[in-house]
Amino acid sequence: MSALLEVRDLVVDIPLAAGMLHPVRGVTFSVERGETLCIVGESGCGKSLTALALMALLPRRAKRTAAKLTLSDTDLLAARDDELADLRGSRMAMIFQEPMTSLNPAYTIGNQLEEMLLRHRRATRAEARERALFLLEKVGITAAASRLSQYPHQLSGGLRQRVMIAMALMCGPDLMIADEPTTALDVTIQAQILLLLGQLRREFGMGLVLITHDLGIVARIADRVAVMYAGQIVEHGSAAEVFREPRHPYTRGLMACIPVPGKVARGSPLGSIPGMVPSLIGSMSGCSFRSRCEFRRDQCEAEIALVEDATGHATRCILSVDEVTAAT
Amino acid sequence: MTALIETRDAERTFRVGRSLFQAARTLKAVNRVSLSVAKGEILGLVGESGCGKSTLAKMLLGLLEPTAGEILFAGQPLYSIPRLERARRVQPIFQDPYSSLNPRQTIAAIVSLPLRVHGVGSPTEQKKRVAEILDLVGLARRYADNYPNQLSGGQRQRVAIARALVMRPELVICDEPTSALDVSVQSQILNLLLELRKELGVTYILISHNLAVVEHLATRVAVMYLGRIVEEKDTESLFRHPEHPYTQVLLESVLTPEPGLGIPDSQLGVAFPNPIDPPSGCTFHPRCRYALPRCSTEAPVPLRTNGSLVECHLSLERAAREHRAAAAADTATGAAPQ
Repeated sequence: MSALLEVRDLVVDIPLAAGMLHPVRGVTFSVERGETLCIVGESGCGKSLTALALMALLPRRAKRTAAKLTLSDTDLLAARDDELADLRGSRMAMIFQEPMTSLNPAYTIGNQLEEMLLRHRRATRAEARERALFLLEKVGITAAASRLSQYPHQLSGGLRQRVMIAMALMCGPDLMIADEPTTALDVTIQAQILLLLGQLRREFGMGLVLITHDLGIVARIADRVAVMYAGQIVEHGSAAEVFREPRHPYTRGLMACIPVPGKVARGSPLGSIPGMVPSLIGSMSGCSFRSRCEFRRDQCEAEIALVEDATGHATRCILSVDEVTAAT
Repeated sequence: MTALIETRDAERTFRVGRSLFQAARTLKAVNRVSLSVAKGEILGLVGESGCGKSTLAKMLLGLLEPTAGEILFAGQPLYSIPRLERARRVQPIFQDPYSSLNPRQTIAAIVSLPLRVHGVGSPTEQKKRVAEILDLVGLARRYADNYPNQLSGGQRQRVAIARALVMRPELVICDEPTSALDVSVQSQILNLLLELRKELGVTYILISHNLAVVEHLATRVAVMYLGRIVEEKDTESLFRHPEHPYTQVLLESVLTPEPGLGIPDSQLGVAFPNPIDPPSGCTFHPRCRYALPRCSTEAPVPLRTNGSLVECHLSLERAAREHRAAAAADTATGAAPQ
């Protein structure tokens, strides 16, 4: 059986006044049904544009190419605009970071939830309402019936994000893409939303692509992790493997940066990654991390491939596993 | 040791919701908070959004007078200190270095503004001070003539820190200083804050929802819930033995990067109560997993024991039990010498 989502060599180019911007440079991954893939990276690494490219929601002037882009047996590259519009919200749904800007302030919650079914399925208003009620309760909203007639501004941030999740689930999608779904929320609410996403993914057998910059979230929810840097995946593997033995110097650097209670002595300096992300405008060559890398060598000037070992743990680095682990 | 800044039952209420059909109602953003920060400490202030931590920060900055109670700075009522002097001694660092810097001013102009306001030194001396402080915060001097939009987020936050520190304030209030930054930049800024404390001996109040950051930096932590401080302790014991059920939930919700642990289920329920209409008794009782009958009717009094504070009926009852047990032991042994 083929994977639910297959992405091969996804490239996004955006022409700017200063030259061609290459925010996504050949990204390859796949997601199975019921699996959670976390794409992790810092701002500007191309993780959000990757998500938008999957949904075909890129800005108009952006150019998307890929060797393969399929959602089970549907070829997303060949799909026409109207076919894509039918797929979005129906078989693949997306949740964004800021729930206030992704809900329409002029319509009630009920209206916006029901619209999903009315648009994509031949449902009656009553059926749509029933489904909306069912899902609002599913995502843990109390007094769901009274919420249907409320407007987004009447809800708290946590509730709005729950409404967004319910909305994404209305048509029972195969694939859910969540772009920083909890970044705007408090830690307590964050835990609840993530718990909910995990439960729903199991219950509905969805594939979940979760985009985040927070390694804590990744560790707790991901089956597999893809670490992105400067538009490329630099490390990829099962969450357990990547956290047990991070191999790319960037991944190792990221992990050293976060204060972990009990692991880093209080008040002692945290690790840091010197330098800055390279410009993604114009032509680029070689390892994009080499300007900040302590292990930099001459070979890093050449293009480096993402090499996978027998366990499926892949790294885009010339260092061997032993060399990396010996260094720390 | 005398406190650098101290609040005594400080309270701030707002009148909200007045409209044609509704009378104004009172929102208690900060409810009789007594807090004291000694020189050289880093006090972490944590809590969910809407708990009043930013209002408290504004009050401590001298930007919002308490409606009741008082705030003392080095023993003197904060609001009796002239505004300029207050600004020299207490400085803020805000969350978003994109909106806290004037986009039309050069970095040198932004950082030297406090010097000009206070009339410190000649223009040449001011220039020298700016260069010194830029060195101190790790920003190359060549950026002095740049504008904020030419800098990255981390560099802008360094500018904000330089501006806050150029007058050598005694207290710096950092309101979510790294929330808008990437992880790799966050660690640089946190390291910088720690270094500057060593170098300049400043006292920090660190407001953050990121408990891992607070754990790393703070020497003491105060947990706020609905305008009250419900627990306050030194960092070590707060993280090791959180006593208040709310603190426990907060700590459980921290997602440390340890795979396999899964997402904790705090069972907290969604609803953060409406601060205009706070629950009766202990304001946390509707969400508390240990709530007793009396929690919904009777507000707990703060329990202070050697420098720590907790405000919970459970802790009060435990303390009472221990007290009774100790008393019973005393009578059993008679007046045995210790």
